[in-house]
Amino acid sequence: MVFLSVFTVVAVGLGLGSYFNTKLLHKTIGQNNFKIAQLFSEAVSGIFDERIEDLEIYMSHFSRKTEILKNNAKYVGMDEAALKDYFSRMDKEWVEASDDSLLIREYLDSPVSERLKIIVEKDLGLAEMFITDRFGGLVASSGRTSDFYQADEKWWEGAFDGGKGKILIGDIEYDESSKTSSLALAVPVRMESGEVIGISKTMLNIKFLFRSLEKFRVGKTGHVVLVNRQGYMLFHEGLEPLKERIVNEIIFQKLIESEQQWVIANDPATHKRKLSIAYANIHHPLFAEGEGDWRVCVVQDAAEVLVPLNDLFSQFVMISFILLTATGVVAFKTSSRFVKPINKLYEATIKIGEGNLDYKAEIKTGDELEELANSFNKMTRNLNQSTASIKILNKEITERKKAEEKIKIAAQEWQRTFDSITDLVFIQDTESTIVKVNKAFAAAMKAKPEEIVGKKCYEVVHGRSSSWPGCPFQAMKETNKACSEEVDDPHIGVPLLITVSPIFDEKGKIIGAVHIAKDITERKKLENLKDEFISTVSHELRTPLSIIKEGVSLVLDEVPGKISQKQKDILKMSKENIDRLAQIINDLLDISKIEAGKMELKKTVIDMAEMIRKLYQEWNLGSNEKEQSFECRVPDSPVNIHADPDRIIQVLDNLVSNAIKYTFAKGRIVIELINKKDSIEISVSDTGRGISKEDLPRAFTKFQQFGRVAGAGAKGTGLGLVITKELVEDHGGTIKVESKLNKGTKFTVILPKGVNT
Amino acid sequence: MSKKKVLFIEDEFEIVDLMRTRLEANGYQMFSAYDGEEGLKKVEENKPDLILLDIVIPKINGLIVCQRLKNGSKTKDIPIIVVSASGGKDLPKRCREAGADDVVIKPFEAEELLSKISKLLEE
Repeated sequence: MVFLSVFTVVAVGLGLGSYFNTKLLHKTIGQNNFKIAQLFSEAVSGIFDERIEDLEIYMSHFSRKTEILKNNAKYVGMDEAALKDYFSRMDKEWVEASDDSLLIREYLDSPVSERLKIIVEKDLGLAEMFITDRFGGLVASSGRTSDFYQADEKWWEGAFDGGKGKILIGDIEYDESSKTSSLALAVPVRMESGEVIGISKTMLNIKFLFRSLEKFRVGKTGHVVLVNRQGYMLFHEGLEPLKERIVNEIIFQKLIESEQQWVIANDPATHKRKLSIAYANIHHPLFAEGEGDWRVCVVQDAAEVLVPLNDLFSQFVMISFILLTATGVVAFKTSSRFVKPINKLYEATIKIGEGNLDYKAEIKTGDELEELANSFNKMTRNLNQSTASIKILNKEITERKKAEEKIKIAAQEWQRTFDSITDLVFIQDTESTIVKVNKAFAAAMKAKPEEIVGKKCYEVVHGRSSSWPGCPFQAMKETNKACSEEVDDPHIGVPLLITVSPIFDEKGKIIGAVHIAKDITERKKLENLKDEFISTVSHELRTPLSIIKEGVSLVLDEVPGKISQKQKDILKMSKENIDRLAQIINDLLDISKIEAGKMELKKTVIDMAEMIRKLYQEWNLGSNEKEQSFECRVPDSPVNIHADPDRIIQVLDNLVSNAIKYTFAKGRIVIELINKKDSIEISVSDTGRGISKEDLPRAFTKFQQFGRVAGAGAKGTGLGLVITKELVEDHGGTIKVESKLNKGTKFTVILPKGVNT
Repeated sequence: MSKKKVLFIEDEFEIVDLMRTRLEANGYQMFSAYDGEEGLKKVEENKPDLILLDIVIPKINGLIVCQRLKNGSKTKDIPIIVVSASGGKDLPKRCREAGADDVVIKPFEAEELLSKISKLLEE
């Protein structure tokens, strides 16, 4: 009787204990899984934030903006009907065109499309990217889109939001052929003023995006599932999205309405096992009214949750049966031996339920109960680790956010540095559109930065409707190097030194240029002062020189009275040196002009053959005096070149007068003109004293005169060849010299024709 | 035949003296003025057959004197040769614009100036 009553009490007590313990364990696991789900919902929000931010950064790049602005400009003046007509025509052409047609290639091979392709290739999280203008027309795309016109799509209208612009997260779409699901993210492209100029759409690769979720395990079977509001699975390994429910509709409804936010339910797929499902909303602001509306569920096999208790129960039934059959007394003792540790386990589940995941159930019975406690502790440890790994994930996300904040601060710092430059600086793309300006530039243009950005630089700077011919940008494009030019455009008002430097992409292609304009008013003032000084000095030198020369000439010409031959010789020498001094003054003036870059060429079309023939008459008189033979080899037909006649005469005069000067009596001088396709070649050769090998490299250096001989004549200024070389080079030509000491010298000038022949 | 009258408007009296010697030796009569104002006055008082004109002279710049003479109905026929020490490349152009008939740069070659004078007086 005693035996029976004890058995009953123990059996009922243990049975009740087991029931409550099961309930408690479920609750503990459910609540912990809910916490995990909550952490995951934050993680998913973080992933979205990160992606949206990435896309905004991609789209804020000036090359993309410029391309969109260029497209928007196409529609200026089109009314609604014209727009409609344009888009339906483009759409039709787009759909019908083959992949290698001109239309498709024009769009898909554009620099911006190429860039999008690279971005998509590099980032496995991206499946496709394209940009439309503010009317929904395609601007650029990483791949061929099905339509050209996008503004008739719901996502587009949503993202454009009547011009206000809104970030939109679309539905998950499943592609049967590639077995991939993707998600559309539409981000408006804005100017710095906030104006929406276009819409970008990006397809995110779901599998890649949530790969961190996929690998996540709670215990052995616990995993993370994204579901929509109706309970259909959005993302589950090996399953087609939106086809399967996580649990049946009624249970799911109960789940989202219940306050406990977890449930034990039958697996809808197998109906055999039970699942523990915890559930959390994703609190992303964009989901609030959008279509996303997702939930994160942590799903775990209920059996796994119950393993320890089931073990405990079966062990207990077996042990108590053996014990009961042995002795009734011991049974009571035994039951208290079982109840104590079970109470400890119960306490543990409560502690863990309260979130104390470090709590350990201390049971030292040395038997199956201790083993049970150990496996319970192990489970808690697993739970602890799982939670920790989510914390790490969230920490990573926070760190990324911090890094992005740093980038933002760096960008602001950059802009502040940019603004602190006192030179006028702006950045343009390859089509002369201004994409960034510093404060000084905006101030000089008397405008706000946002009023200038997006406009053509020639409009803003020079007030022109087409590119300004004086701009060094063209030269920069041709040379791939920074180019400078002094500019004095009356539209700007102040003289500027403009330097244009190329900006390259990773492949070394020019994608834009930086313009730096320095106000050189002060320098110009100094230069003008210097010019004024030089011309004053030369004037002041020439005046007394003219008195000396005329005085000497009068006496030499015997106007006041006869003089002796000896007196004549002396005065003649004086007069020659007066002329030399006058020539030095002229040369110095030329040199100072050349060095200041002030030698302006007044080019016209000249017939070189005719010019040389005319000059030859004069030269011949001079060489006749020295009994030299002077030959002129010039074609009979005209040889036209585009050049400054005064300067070309100066060049030829200098070379020929040198030849006459340095060639001995009875020597020979030849001037020859050769007409080539795009250039002409003029050579002046003599049989004069020549220049030595050592001296030849210095032939075109200032104040170099070679082989001077004692006595009268054959003296120059030492500046003639320097000026000659500069003048030839100013015409885009070259000059070279060949010489042998005591044999002769040959100067060859090659000039580009610069005219159509 | 009476001697041709040449007026030299120039502030450097040494060159004026030298030119007087030169011109008189070549059969001309020369008189001079020190500055632009005096130059214009002398032209009015005693109309010369030809004028040699410096640019950098006191009171009225030579090029302005040239312009005024070429715009005056009584004086526009008088040939003017600018004799200047300002050697800029655009000087001939500026002189032409002011109406001058020819230019000689200082220091000049007497032969060259004489041939220009006689050529202009023949025309």
